[in-house]
Amino acid sequence: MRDQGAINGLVKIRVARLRLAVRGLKSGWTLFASSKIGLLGLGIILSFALLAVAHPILMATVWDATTYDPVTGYAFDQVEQPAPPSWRHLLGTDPLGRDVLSQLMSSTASEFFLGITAALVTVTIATSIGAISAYYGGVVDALFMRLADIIIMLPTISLLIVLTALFGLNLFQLALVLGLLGGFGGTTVVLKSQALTIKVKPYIEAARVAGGSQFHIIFVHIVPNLLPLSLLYMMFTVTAAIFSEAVLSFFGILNIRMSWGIMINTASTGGYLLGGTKFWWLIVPAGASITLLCSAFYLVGRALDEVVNPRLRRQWDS
Amino acid sequence: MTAYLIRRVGQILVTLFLFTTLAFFLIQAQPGSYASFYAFNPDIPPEVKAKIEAAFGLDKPLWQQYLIHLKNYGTGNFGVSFRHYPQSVVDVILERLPRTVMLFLTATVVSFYCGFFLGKAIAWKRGGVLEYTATISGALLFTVFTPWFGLMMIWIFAFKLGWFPLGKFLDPLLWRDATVEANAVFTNMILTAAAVSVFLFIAVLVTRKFARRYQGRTLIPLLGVVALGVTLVWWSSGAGYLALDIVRHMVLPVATLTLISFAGTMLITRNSMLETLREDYIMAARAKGLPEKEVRDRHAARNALLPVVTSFVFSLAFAIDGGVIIEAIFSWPGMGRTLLDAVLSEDLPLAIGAFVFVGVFALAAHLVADVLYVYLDPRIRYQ
Amino acid sequence: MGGRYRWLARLIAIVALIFFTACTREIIKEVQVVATPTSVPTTATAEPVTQTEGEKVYQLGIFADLTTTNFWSYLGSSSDGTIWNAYVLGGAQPALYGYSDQRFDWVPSLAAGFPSPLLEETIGGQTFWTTEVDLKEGFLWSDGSEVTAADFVFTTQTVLDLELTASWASSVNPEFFDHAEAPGPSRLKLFFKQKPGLAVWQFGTAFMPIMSQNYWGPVVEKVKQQGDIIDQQKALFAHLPSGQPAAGGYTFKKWERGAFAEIVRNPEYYFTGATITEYENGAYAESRADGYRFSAYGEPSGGKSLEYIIGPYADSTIYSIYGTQEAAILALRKGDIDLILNPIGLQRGLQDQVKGQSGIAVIENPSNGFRYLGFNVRRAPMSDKSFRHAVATLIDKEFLASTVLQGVAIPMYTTVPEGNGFWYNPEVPLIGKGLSRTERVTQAVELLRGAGYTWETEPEVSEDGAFMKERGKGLKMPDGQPVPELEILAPSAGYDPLRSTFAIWIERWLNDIGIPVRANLTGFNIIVERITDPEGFDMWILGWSLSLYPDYLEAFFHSRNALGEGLNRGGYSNPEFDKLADELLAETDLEAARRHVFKMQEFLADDLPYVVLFTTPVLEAYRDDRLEFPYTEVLSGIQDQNALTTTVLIK
Repeated sequence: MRDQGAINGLVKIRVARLRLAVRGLKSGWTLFASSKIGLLGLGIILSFALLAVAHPILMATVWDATTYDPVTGYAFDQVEQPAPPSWRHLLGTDPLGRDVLSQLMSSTASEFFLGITAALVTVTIATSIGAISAYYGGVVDALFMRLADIIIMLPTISLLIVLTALFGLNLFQLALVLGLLGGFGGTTVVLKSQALTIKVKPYIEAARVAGGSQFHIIFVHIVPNLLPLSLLYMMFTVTAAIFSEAVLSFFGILNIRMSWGIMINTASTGGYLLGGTKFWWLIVPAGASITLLCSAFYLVGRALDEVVNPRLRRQWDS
Repeated sequence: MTAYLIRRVGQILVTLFLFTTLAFFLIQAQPGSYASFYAFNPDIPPEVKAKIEAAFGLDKPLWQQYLIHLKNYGTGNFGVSFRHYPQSVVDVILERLPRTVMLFLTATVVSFYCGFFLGKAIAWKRGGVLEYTATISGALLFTVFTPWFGLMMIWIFAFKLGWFPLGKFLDPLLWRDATVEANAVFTNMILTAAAVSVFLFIAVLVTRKFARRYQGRTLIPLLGVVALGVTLVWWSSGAGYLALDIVRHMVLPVATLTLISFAGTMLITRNSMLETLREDYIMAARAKGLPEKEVRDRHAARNALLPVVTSFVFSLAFAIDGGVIIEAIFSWPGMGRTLLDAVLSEDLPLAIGAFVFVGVFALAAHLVADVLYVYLDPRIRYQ
Repeated sequence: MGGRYRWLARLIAIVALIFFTACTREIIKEVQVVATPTSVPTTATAEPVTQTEGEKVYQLGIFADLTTTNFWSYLGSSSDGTIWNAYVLGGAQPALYGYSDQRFDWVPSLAAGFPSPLLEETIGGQTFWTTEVDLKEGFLWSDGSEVTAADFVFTTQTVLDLELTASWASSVNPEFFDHAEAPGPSRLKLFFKQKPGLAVWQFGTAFMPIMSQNYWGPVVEKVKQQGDIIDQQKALFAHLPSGQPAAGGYTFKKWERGAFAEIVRNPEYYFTGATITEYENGAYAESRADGYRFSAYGEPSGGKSLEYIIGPYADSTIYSIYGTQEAAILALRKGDIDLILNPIGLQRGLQDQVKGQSGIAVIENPSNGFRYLGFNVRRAPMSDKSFRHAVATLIDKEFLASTVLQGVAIPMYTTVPEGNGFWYNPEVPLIGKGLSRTERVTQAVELLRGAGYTWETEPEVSEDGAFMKERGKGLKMPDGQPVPELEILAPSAGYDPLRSTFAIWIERWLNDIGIPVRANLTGFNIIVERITDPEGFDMWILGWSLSLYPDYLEAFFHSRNALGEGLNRGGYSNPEFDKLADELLAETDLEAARRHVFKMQEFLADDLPYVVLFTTPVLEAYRDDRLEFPYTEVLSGIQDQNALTTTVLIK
């Protein structure tokens, strides 16, 4: 049992911490917002998110499933497939008579799902392992770092190609594999070196002297300080995940029904990839979306980098 | 130094062992078995299937299979390819390796140089048009959908403009009466490249010792002489026109690989330069009144190079991945295409063999980067 | 100070360069000695050799490398039996009989006429079925020696001795074939252990490629010294032939791995200059300038359906390997190649690209094969014939093929393709053909209800069939059990977009009337693995390429093949069908065999172990400003006729 005063004190500390965090976020945002590149990236991401959210709404209201379902729909209103853009099909239809815009929008959601799942898995693993490795060192550290060595040197796409041959991956499994590869690979190494610099900070020593448990120190003191950097690496993971999915789907080796990669695969197996400008709506929307969303996360990552890593800021600013 | 290298080699051997084990568990964990691919082939009688199973050690308990697997991989026996039976996996791989190595070394070196010089430039002039253009186009190219980009390059430069051949690595009409095999030419080209690099490396070290100040002026004529020498040697060998044909076919894939991968090196160089520029000795150099170019190239860039070299390893893995795509698009039958074809035709031993080979290749490059790092950084002398 | 060092540096550089030059020169010379065959002069510093004046080169695009140039291995190892090997190696070896062009009549090739009828003979207490064949005289190998009966005997004996499998085993089936004898250089006598069916003799041994004893005799002798049979086979397959004689229109010249293969005109080719004529009345005739005449299948008179003179007219044929269809199409458009060889033909989008371009013609032919939906009839409700009929009725192949897949699939209903005219039974009912969506749903519901199935909510379709007013729910089998969640295994879109499209639509149509089914689009190896477990799957979608002689019906549907590793994966079992299939295998008369096959088709159409879904058209594009083919209409397209290398005219 604690007396009221102590609880009040605790609350005050929490509130103060929160305020500090908010202020940190605010100043972080100011820094971030000063980067045009970062804002551009964020803008692109938000517009794609809007597309993803709009799809189920459109399907429930204006678009009937027979015509607009991204996988089994068929544009009966068009005589010849693939049909060029029209008012009913703003981005035309694919060689199998499906609405390209609907495919593009429904895929956006899966790309976000894929990217974010992979990124969350990566960051959760990498942050925990980075902190643990840095804190304990020794055998634990050596083990994880050797593992990271292997994973870094593995060409991801090649590994994924082999994995799909052996197991036949679907979207969630792909996200998981990518997350694991990122989590146990390069990101861990970076986060661990960051954690090492935190480990030697006085407040960690203070916490230890005050009798904080190891778990407490790692997850309450070290991990939160790693989070900004983790966030940065989340962005890069998202880029990598979306890109990998597109390439694997392009080669037609994933067990996925619709994605931007599948859209290009459909165009490619139909032989429309080199049609020049004649069948642009089969390639450009999906291709540009991959590039745009990947670049957007990448640009946001770069802008975050400047927030997280003060040494990269313009010399003259500070 | 030696001790460091020994330790590093030891570590890499351990990594290799773990990697081989990983390959084994991947094979074991997959739902089918090697034998099942034969099972559905109507042409193979059961007794032959049984013999195949025995030859692959598939009738033994798991731990024995593991030992057989370790022994096989340790001795470079990756089994027999299904599709190229009775050719061994290693034979298939050795046939494709020179073509991949040639393409990759060239592309990696070119993209590395482009990335490094651009990165240096944009770090020096921050906020300029160059920075925005290079960053955004770099990011776009880095994330562009590679298969499509490759096809577009072919479409524009090979088909519409007709500047380069349409994929492939040689012109059949030119090679139909050639008496040398393409692989022999590839191997010689790689040897030439290796000899030139080693020579240049030594030359740089020597001239650095003797003529620090005039290094730049010495290297350019030197490069010219080397180029002339190489040309003469190839000309007199009689295979010169064949090598030239290969080079002609390499331009477009190398350009494509460079465009999609230079951004990585560029951004790392930029960050590294920015950090270096804050160092005291740069201030000091500036304060001394040294010309800006001198400060940039001699003081900042050289020190900024270190992390970039480390990232070389990352970019290598990236290049290999890019290669899987580029090789498929450019009809370049190297390791990447072998891997993809093996997977698409369900030739599992070849797929895993190719993958392990690619891994070993990456590991070797890792080691080379380590050694380079030690040479480049006078401050670091590993224990 | 700097100046002195500069000179020193330059001096070092020059010395090093000389050293380096010497080194590399050494390296190159060394390697070249290894790579250069001693007898061939090097082309030192010569100008590049390209197409010389007047030389005609037939340039073909293919999509994968050869895996071997060894003919034994190509037909003896399942992994080397690739279509790409077939394109390049296919026409090189002679055979006793072959199919005629375009019409697939059974005609003599090396044989001088038709074989003598099968005779039952007893020799030394053993009973044989024998037949005799006369060979053409003056039929030469490319090395100038004559193709003799001894070569045939040697080939069959090698197959038996080394226990070769795959295609060799179907040519020389050890269960039937005993041995061959050569009573004279141009006379051959074959001994069978039991009465050989059509598949064994006329469509088997008679088509066997004959290998040169001169060249292969010593190789086979050496090979036989190796350990066990597997080692011997391996040794035979591993032999990379060089200078192997051929007796087809071309001989093999060069294989540059990963890049191209080249074959050159065989000056000794027997048929060069021969005229082949096919008449509308079914007659077939061939004649040569030296007075040789042959005709069969009726009086060679009246209208001619096909006539051409055999070449080859090209001096050389080059097969270049391309990584993607796109690259090959660009090469065709640019004129780098004359024809693209691809067993699956050209994609429609690519066809759109070349259509209308002057100098390029596009042709379309049906392929000999089918993709099907298979039922695991061991499990309920697939074990129920009415259920299978309901599923077949619901699948609107016309809609999918013509509307969704835009003509890249041709709907099929029967286990023997219509294009295989001789064997196709036109009386077989085509389930569900031409029905509207409403009719399909109504009929399927009737079928199920009639068999005792019940719904919680019965499905109902709108008048025009455009949508489901009410989707079926809670379907129960006649025994009152709910229909379990079913699964259709089908290849993913990357492996085959057509089959995955079919799977997705079938899933939707079945779900509409309340059959709980899910299409699982997955890897080919996973499907194959799953369907080897008799109890581990419900339905699957795969495909078969077919032979012209339809004995595959036995392999796919005889109950003995439902066990172990047979091809009857769905476990179809019908004693009456088994009996017919056995009779077919034993039949030696063409007409009787045809009656069996017709009956078997009727059984399959009623029992429905497969719902045959569709076949694909083979689209091909070629440079018609460079090439002139004697004909372009043929089952499976020109690619299946070895690109007509011996008859195509090069302009």
